Amino acid sequence: MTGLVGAAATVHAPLILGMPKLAPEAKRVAVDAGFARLRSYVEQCRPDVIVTISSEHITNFLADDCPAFATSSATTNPVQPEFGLAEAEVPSHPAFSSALVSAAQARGVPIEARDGLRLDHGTNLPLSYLTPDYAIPVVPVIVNTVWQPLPPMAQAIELGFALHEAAERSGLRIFAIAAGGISHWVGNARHGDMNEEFDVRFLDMIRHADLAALSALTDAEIDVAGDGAHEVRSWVSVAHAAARAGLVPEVVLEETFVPGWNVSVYQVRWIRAER
Amino acid sequence: MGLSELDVRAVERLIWFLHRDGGGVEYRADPAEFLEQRCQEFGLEGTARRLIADCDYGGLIEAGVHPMAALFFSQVNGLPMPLYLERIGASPERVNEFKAAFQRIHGGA
Repeated sequence: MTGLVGAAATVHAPLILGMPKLAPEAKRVAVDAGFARLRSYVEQCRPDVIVTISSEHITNFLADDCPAFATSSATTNPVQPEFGLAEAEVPSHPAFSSALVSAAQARGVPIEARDGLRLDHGTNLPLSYLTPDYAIPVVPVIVNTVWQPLPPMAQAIELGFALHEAAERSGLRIFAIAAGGISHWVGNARHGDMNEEFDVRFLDMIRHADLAALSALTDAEIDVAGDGAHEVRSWVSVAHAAARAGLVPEVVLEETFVPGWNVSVYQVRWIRAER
Repeated sequence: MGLSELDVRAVERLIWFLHRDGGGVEYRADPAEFLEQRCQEFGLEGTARRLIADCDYGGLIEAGVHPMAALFFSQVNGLPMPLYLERIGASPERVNEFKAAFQRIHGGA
């Protein structure tokens, strides 16, 4: 079987890797177990290519040059060594990257292929847990959630549909990883705040594959969960791709508050319905 | 304390260089000399230059610099998160919460 064979979503809070001991041990153990379960699922799916969808953190783009969506046309992409991430070159898959760009642009998604992207913790924190040896090529997709104007949610949804279509046509086994969110504030006076009500509501939309509710999310609703909450666009993309591929969501980890890291840690996988 | 958009972008570009492009090593070796050498290159002058020279993170944010860039600048300067939050005017409760967490693992903020 080829196409989108599996998918996962996780937060990518850098302190998980950068300062693990800030969190209570029981929470750390739970989060590590969640990542281990997702890693096992990736291995079980035997993907030829992993597609990550994540924000980035002023690593590749500044305000005057920030595409709404970007991917890499390079054969490898370097890891930005930060928060405990080691330097590495992560192999990519230019042919699938190109196919994804074509499918997305055909759906009106303003995505650009750049000649190489640095993978910061947004993309690479999940990869460091799920495929730490980087043996599987990774096509990184970056969603701008930093610089205004942010891409509308409708484009994130179209990106998801395009991902499904490109995967179907590829003859490859594709695994998608969404990274980021859910509620959080970054670098401002509310850094460390959360909006648990939003987190629970959003996770319920994901859990029940409530695509209508996800599609109806407005920027104003997301704003109350923090500037970092706009990273949920990646989850919305993957939820739509997974639904088209006949995959159903299953919540893997639900830690509503981890003190020290001051985040909720949620993880989801999308699996074949018949499993 | 507002900066023009041009100034804001110049500050963000400088911080990008420090955080991403290895400029941090050169900066940390001698911040004053670094700014003397690099401010013209990055188009930093006046208030923008002073905010950077003073490591005025709150002032940078107030002037329109992206808070994420201000946070990265504090990391280039080796400032622990609790002190960064204190400097940008986070609530005392939040600052103390982070100080306690950092003290637990480092024995200091």
